Amino acid sequence: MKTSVEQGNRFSSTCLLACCLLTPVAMAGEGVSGNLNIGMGYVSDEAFKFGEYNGLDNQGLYPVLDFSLQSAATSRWSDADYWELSGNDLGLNSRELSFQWGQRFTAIYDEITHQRSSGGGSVFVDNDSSDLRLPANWTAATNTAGMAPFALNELDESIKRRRLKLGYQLPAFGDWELDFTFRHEVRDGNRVRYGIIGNTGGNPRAVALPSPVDFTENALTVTASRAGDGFSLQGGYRLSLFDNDNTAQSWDNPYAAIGGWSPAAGYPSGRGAIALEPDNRYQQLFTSLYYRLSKSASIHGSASYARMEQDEHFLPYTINPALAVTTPRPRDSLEGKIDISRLRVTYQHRLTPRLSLRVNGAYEDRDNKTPRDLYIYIGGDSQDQSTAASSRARYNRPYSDTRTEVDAALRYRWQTGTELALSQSLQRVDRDYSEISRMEESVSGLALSRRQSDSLQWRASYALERRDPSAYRGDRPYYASHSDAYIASTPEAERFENHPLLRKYYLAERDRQKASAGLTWTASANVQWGLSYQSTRDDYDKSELGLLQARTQGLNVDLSVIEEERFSWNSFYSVERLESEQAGHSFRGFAVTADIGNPGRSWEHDSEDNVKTLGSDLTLYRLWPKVDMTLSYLLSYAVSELDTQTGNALSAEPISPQGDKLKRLSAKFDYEHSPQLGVSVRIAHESYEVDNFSYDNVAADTMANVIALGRSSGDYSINWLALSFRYRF
Amino acid sequence: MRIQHFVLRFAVVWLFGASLVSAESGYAPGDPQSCLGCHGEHSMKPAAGIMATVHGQKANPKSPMATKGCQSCHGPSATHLSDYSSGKPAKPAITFNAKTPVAQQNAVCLDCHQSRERTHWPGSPHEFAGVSCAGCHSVHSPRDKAMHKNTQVDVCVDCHKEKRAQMHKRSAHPLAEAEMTCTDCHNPHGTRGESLLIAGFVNENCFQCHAEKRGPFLWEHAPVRESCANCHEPHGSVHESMLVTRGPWLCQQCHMASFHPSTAYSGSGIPPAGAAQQMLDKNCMNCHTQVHGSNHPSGARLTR
Repeated sequence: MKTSVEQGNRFSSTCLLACCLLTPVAMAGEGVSGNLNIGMGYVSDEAFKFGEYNGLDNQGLYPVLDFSLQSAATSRWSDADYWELSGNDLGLNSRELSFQWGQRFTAIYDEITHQRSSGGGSVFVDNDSSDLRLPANWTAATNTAGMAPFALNELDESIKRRRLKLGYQLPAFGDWELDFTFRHEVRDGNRVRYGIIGNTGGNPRAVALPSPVDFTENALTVTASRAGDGFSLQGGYRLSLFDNDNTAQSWDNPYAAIGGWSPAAGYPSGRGAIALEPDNRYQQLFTSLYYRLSKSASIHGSASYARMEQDEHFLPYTINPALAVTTPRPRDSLEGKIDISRLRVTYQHRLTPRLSLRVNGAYEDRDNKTPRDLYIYIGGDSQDQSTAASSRARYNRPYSDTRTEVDAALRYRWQTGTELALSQSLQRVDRDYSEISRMEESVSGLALSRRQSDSLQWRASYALERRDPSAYRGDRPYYASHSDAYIASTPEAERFENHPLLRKYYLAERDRQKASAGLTWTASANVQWGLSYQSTRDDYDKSELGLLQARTQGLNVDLSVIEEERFSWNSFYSVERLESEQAGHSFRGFAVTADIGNPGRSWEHDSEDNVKTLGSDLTLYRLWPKVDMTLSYLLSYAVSELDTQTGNALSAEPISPQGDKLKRLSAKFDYEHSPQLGVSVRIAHESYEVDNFSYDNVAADTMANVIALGRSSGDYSINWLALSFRYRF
Repeated sequence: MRIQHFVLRFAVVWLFGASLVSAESGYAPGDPQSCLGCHGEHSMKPAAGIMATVHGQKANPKSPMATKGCQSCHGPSATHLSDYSSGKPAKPAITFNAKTPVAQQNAVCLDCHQSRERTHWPGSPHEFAGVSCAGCHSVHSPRDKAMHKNTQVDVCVDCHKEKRAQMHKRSAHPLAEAEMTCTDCHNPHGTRGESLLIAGFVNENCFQCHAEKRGPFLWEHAPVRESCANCHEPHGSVHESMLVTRGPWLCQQCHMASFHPSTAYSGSGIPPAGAAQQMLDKNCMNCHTQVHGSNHPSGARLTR
């Protein structure tokens, strides 16, 4: 395995060196101006959520360093003289360095660290390894309750992304222009995933695995374009190569063997292995054309052909050599291939000076050419291989689909400032291996807007989407994935997996109504109000089980008060409600028929999320001589109500409201000693409270069959201070 | 301030007055100096910032300043300097506000900016909705807010207001931290596909940053292959991993097989009442860890 840290450091150093070399070249121009911001910051505590992306994830001091250098405009200023070099947040884990030379060349290097969780640890010795080992003194048991108290090896779940983007534009032959974009991206760190040993829904034993992330992607796009009087033409090629240094993760099984497992699968001989993300390749050829047919009509077309490929070598059916494998894998690697063809044509016509028409036609074919074979899998590294007549003999399903879409829209503008838009679209999707083979969807839309006066504008829109699938055959995936021998051995009435009345929400018949309205009122030269409302309602009237209804409503109010050179005050308040209703039916495999017919085993689950967000920024210019001040407040408050009701053969307990509250109050003072020199002070207090049953009171051994990380939801209260000096030249 | 403004205007008229109106074209001479005389950095309608941008490059043959200066975009505007008959200066030939039809405004910009990422502008949702280039871009400013990482989101949420609150939710892409911008995913000038996505289509857009999920995998998860948006809300969610709703109930909207997939989950599975492995920590993904697809020959259940 490559050492990702070394790789990252080399990468950073190379980028910095490149920029240092470019700087003197760029500074050879006629004049230079710029800014330097240098100082120190302090974070009072460590919290993953506070520093999730901003680089402020560690407690203590950190350097503040930002700068920009750019060429100054001159009387004979040309594109070749224009350059800019800038660096932002260079003292933090999330930082950026960029260089631009004219419109021709850009180089951007940025790093961002994503902190993914708070606290906790794994039971394994080396959290950075792709081959995880238990400590020598491990005491195994069949569940966590039987295990002796175990120590956790502290885990920092974070991923650092380093990205270098280079762009170069050059005039090519004739009127053609060529653009090159190259991106090199490295991600390293670790994330948590779980690994299980077990072969049925009844006997799995899971453990949290710190899983290494060592991803590299190189992507290149070459585009040729040409524009002329009434036309433009573009074509190009795109390539992306993804490489994962770790193709597998293996671990020692911390559980003793239980009934249903091969004895060899338990501790100490038993091991588990999962396949990590395989290397892959993506290529695309694309072209587009715009042509003005007349003064009032134009046509625009685009076409692309893409291929996704993946051919990583397969792992064996099991990592445990003691488990019998009698039928070899049908192939050593997938030879996975998906071809994607797309075509889109848009015709636009201004029929009259006030009436516009747009017609779109689109075709997309995703042809999954991955070979389809029968694999006789071994359930969770815990049993001997079965036969082709078992439920563990499965065909892979390389899903393909074809979409065709036509839509038309008319827009009419009255002289009074009123606009009316009508639209209609029809889409058809054909799928294979799916519960429905064909889906048709129509969308009818109406939008009205009006400039009531110079100070008042409003708009309203409504759309009705109707999804009409072909007959839903819930057993289609069953027949497509199991072997003929297994199907023949199963009673006909039990040839399904999901409850026959279930309708998967993304395939089910659905009526969706979307409505929105908004107005902007400029109350005076300095004051502007905004009000908007949006609603989406999904009805799955034909579904008896699964998602039945979903609704989202949002209301936003915003106010902007600006008094030139005195103050500006921008505030917003948003309320959002997301509701859903779903139904289920609990049944057991050994009593399928009886359970399915028992109305007492039905259940319903309602979910309601209420989110309130308030943001306000007040800037006072020249609060004191030479001092500007900005005060900001942010409140994001979410409460989720979850309610499960069951029939009389089942039972349910209430769940207390879940949710979180983020509050941030910050102030920024800018003192301008002179046009060249200034001081900036930033102070912030942020607090976060969360109720999340997923992590609250869940220790590493709380679940009987899962060894978790024992992490917390992540409440915190943090103060942040930064002092910096600005020099402008 | 106003008095200074009029004095300055008077001086400009006096200096250039004799030849203000070109008999042939109506273009004012002395552009841009004559224009910046009134539209300087501290004026009511500042425009001097343009000189620090690519549009201000006089030696760049593609720049407006290399030809007719400000009037390259604002059209022949000699009367703007000379005609006070209404008590105020006459408007330039083309203004980039509600007084000029959007199509006419945009035609000025498209005259130079038709290619590259604007190729798909004709017929695009913003074009058809009558959004003007100047509605988002401020070319008179030395730093166009729409083009700058730290300020671009503010420009977009000015219209897409619901997105402003969404990005502050518990699980969201780092837009609020300015570590991402809207244009990392969307091209507001139009694309080849849906929702103005750069790659044109949801999954290929997501794969630009999450290439590890591209596959294809031996064991595909059908809704994942179809659209990441079936399960994720990329603008922000109150649920983990930007999921549209919480597990295990999200999974149960498609999976209702016998035993645990069809079980009614409730408070009885939460401490202190209980500790259901399908509800706590990563819920269903405590076992089905490979929901984005598995490449393991024993991964048919997405556990490998």
